[in-house]
Formats: sequence, structure tokens, C-alpha cells
Amino acid sequence: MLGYRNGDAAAFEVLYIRHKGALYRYLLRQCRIAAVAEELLQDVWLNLVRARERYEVKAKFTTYLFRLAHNRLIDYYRRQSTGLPASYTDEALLEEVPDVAQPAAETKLDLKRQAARLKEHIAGLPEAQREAFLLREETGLSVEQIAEVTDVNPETAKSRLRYAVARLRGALGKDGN
Amino acid sequence: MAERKKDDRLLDEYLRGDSPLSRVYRETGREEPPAHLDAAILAQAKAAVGARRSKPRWFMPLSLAATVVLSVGVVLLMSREGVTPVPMETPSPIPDASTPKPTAPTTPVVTPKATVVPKEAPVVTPKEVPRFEPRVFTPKEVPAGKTLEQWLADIEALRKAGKHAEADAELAKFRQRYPDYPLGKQPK
Repeated sequence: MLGYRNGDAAAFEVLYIRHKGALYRYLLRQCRIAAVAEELLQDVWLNLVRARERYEVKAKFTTYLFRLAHNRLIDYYRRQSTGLPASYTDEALLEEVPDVAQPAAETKLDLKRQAARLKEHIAGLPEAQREAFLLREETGLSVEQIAEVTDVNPETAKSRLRYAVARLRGALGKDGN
Repeated sequence: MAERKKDDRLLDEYLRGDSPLSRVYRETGREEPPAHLDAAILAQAKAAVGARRSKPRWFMPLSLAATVVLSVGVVLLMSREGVTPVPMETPSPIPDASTPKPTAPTTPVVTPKATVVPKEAPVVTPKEVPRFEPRVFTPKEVPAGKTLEQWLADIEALRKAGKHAEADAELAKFRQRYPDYPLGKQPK
């Protein structure tokens, strides 16, 4: 990013190619409409272009990029008639105990069918928990980095991720049985 | 409480990596943005920096360094060849029109125009560059009615005529007045 900030357009292309897929899937699985995901994706990258001269190395670039994406996503949610999803503000959701079961052995359902089911269960997660899970899966960010991206304290980020993992593992277990 | 502990344990296992959940997730598809969107974003990113800078970042410092090196080189060359700088504000006497203008030694004259400046180097106005001019020997310093060359020719004539004492005396006067004048093959 420093290369691009200093005027090297090729440096931007390297960053774009490295992160575009993860960023697109994160946005697509959060908003679930391809056209919207594409628009958000473009906005995020262009926000990055506009902010390049203020960019300083304070954190991992992935954290910086997904922080921009999170902010754009929150802005998108707020503009919807339904407003910001309750999962971002109602921490009581985190106290719900998801139905946990052991994951199914991969032999019981083939991997592709499991994946298709998992995709549905991910879509059924509350937005904030889904976001924590997608950030972990798509970028490999730690709990602390997820907290930084989503602007919450590490405990909240951990609770969201714990909830998502427990619920998805439980769903996979049920499907397999 | 027991459920919470179990969830924590599951989360720790998951965070250690390569959990069954992550393995299944990797099979959910690797959607990518459409190619036209890639092209549009990359074009806009390129345009944003392309309009601002067309030269590499090191170009300006390199140009400045080249200018300094050239200037110092010129000054050193001039000092080795005995060219004395004359300040611009030194008033030069106006020679009498009837008196032939004395000529200066044929030392190469270097003016700021001769300095090679890289095309993109910052513009340096002539005032900022030290100006050097060859030493001008004014008519007032030369015996009346004589040019430098005539004076030297007279000394040579005295020596040829065997008037060595007079020739030496004249030469001493000449050297006293023009210690920097290169005599070369002139009378000694």
C-alpha cells in the first residue's frame, strides 16, 4: 500500500488481486445480493484509492482494508428500511445457546452437499456473528484483529465468533445425522 | 455454564486451524468479482495516481545532485586553469576608443550557460549561479600608448639588443603589475 501511496499503480494491482476474492465473498455473503456486493466492493476499493495519501502502517493491511469494508457495509445496512441489524447492537443475542451437536463425519454426507448446507446455515446467522465468522474464514484474522475491524472490544468479537462456530457446528452435526 | 465452557473449547479448537468446519467452508465456493469490475477498479486506481505523478520519486533528487556535481566540477576546473572570478559589481573602466582594446589570455571562458542542466532539473536563475569572467587587464595599468603585447615586445627588443638590465627592470615592472599573466614564451 505504501508503494501505491507513493504513486506505483502496479502495487495497487498486486493488492487488488490478493484481496479481491476474500473481500467480495465477505460482502456477498453479508448482503446476499450480487449486484449490491459489486457496488460495495467498488466503493471500498475507491475509498482506499481516495485515502491513499493518509495511509500509514499502523496495522496489517488486511485489517485496514476490511475495516473500510465493514464501515461501508454498516453504512449500507443503515440505509435499508430495516436499519442496522439487531445483532450489531443487541448483545443479548450472544447469550442464546445454540443447539450444539458433534459435526458429522464427512463420509455421512459428501463434502459438496455439506458445503451447500453450510452456506445456507451461514446465511441464517445473525449479521454480526456471520461477519465475525466470515472475517475469520476469508482472511485468517485473529479475534483481536476482528475486534479492530468491527470496532468492538475483543470479548464481543470472541463472543460473536463463539456463537457462530457453535451454531454452525451444531447445524452440520444435525445434517449429518 | 457447562455449555459456555464447551463452546469455549470448540472455539479454541476452531481457532487452532484446520477444523472440520473450516474444511467444509472451503468447499462452499470461491466466488470472484466479475472481470469488468476488476478492470474498472484497476483503471480508476491507475488514473488516480497517473494524473499526479509521471516520473519516479527519485528523479528530482537525482537531478539536483547532478546539477551540484556539475557546478562543483566547473568551479574546480576553472580554479586549476587559473581563471579568476570577477564579481559582477566591479566597475570596469571604460577604455578610450582610440586605444586598442587589450586582449586577455586565451583561457576558456565558462559562463553559467555552459553548464549542462538535466532537462527536468529545477530552473536556476543566472543570479543564483556564481559568474566567472576572465581577468581583464585595463589600459590604465599599461604604460601610456602601449598594449600588453607591445610592452612585452619592447622587453623582448631590449633583450635582443643586449640591454638585459633594462629588459629585466621592465619585466620586473610587468610582473609586479600582472603577477597572474601567463608569460609562456614571452621574454624572461
